[in-house]
Amino acid sequence: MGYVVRDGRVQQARQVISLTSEQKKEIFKQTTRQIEVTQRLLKRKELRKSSSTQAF
Amino acid sequence: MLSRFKTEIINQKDLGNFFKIKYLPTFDFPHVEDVFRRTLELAFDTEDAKATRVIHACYDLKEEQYCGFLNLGTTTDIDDLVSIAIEFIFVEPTYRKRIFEELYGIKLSEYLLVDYVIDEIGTNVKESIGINTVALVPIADKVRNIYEEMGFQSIPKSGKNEFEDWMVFAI
Repeated sequence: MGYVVRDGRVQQARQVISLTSEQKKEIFKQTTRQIEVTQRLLKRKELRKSSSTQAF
Repeated sequence: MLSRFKTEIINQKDLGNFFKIKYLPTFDFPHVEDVFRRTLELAFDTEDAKATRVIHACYDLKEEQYCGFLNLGTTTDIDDLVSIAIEFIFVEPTYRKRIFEELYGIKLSEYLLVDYVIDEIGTNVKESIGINTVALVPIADKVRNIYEEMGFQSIPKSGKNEFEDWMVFAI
């Protein structure tokens, strides 16, 4: 559903319609930024894992 | 390093008391409480199975208090594609803009969106039932760049507008 504040009022978010197949593919493909964010996440997970291992 | 933050699912039967007794969020921007109420209804209705959203609350074990929450579900608002939907995210004002050593150098909002929703929940959902995207609607355009920093993208050239309200992250 989703809500947005527009023109000082709470409104329901606009639905996305009529995407082309190319646009749909873009949605499912990770962007450069998403790859960076995921790589940083993996590093944090490694740190978390190693610190929990050291705790025992 | 031991975890400082614990995220827990609040069962529907406990929701009424939870937001009255256990945790009173400090809404500090106009309209935020209104959006909270509207999205909470989606997690709360027992009459005709409209309760399709779940509240996930984040507890600070060090300060012994709740510090934020998420309202999660699914959506087909992006051209009928099924996505995990972050209906609402809230971080207490005193926890915003702070980098936490216990979270390995990120803010609580990034932890909730990336580490918790995208990784902990999203990866399992993707592997088990094949939903590949996490979607959200920024409450206002001025906060869209915060989500862009975390990797969410406005759907390019979608619909008749420059961009629609929704943003997505491909898991």
